[in-house]
Amino acid sequence: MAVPLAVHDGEDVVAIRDLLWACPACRSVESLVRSGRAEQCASCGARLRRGRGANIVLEVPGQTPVARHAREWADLIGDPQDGEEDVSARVSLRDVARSWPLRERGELLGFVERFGSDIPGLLILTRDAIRFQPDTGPNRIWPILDVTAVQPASSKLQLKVRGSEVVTLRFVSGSVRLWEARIQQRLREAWRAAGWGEIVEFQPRVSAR
Amino acid sequence: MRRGYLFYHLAAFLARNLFRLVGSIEVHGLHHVPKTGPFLLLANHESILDPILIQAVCPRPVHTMAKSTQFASPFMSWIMRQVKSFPVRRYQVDPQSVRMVLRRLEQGEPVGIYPEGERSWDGRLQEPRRGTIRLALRAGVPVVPCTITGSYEVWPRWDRAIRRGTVRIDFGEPFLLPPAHDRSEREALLPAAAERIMGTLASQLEAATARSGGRGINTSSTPVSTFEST
Repeated sequence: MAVPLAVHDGEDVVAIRDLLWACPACRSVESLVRSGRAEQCASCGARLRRGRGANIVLEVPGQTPVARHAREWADLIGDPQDGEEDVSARVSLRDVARSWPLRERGELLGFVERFGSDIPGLLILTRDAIRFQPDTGPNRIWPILDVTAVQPASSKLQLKVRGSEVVTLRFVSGSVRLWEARIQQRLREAWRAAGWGEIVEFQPRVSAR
Repeated sequence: MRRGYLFYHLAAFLARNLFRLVGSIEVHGLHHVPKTGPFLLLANHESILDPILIQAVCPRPVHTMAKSTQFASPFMSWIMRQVKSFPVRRYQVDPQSVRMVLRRLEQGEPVGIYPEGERSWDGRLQEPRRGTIRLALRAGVPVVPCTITGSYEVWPRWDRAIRRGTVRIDFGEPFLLPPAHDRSEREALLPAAAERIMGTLASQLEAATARSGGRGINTSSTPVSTFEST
């Protein structure tokens, strides 16, 4: 028995495609789209849904469904790889609307931020920059070497760029895990090319040995 | 009961009992949790349930670091503060969160941190954040390794539905990291400390999984309603 905690056709929902960045049946990248409480490959028509526990059931038309642990499916498709070409995805970007110190009985506990409303647009990753083209309003361009942190948060990705507040990106149909790997890979290459060394960590700050 | 901890204990009681609706919790090694004094509780992180369940079963109230966005709404902020959480901005170096950890430890309180820094996508143990290892070296207090298994089967990161299952929590034997007196000593000890902490968590996880009969934990659809402490 499952206890559903969120409506699966809602906007803000974690998804199997966040884990499986490619279809395990046909290996098409970012081809999984939501279909009710399952996800369907737009390329081969295979369906993926959660089975018992952390199992994912793959249903290929005309074949017997295969249930495997999420970890096994993830191993089967391997780690996300990044190519050389420019890639893009529809995203909703949110800026920090407000940040403030949090206190309890006069004691400063830390700092908190609240994100503003969604700004829909297109995220484009090139070799040397991340560009956000909102549906309305001016473009934003972040040179890849100015990115100081790449932080996944639930099903979103947070980007911190030098001199700016953090932004959060929700991928409308892309895989957050794939995009994290893509941006990390571009950062690695850019840092190497700039002679800044091998990156060992992307959070809380991109840093090299 | 200590002043200011009434809600914490109520929340822990509710968490333990509400979880029975979807499964059971097995707790092992409670005798390893120091009865007095500060310690760092370092745990693996495979589900959103982990902090709730670990705090619910740990015999001492644990102060925890939680991502800053969880404090954004006034209601959640109140809840988080009542369960003794304080915010950390994970996308930048956050000296205030370090100060908070050290302050709570100086006050003799236990502090819980997830060294991986985020939930695992596939349930496997991930690399630790170096900042957490540095903090553990700087704190100089006992480290209590804590592993949680089965929570990934109940509520993995890539889904929003809870399934029935048994979650097992193991508190391991506390250990001390070698003393580091300054930053250069901490940097030198960093790889060995990371190996010690993550190696301990990995072997504890392996043992817990083996005792549970293989991958993950029992995810039988039969409801189990034990709350067993050993």
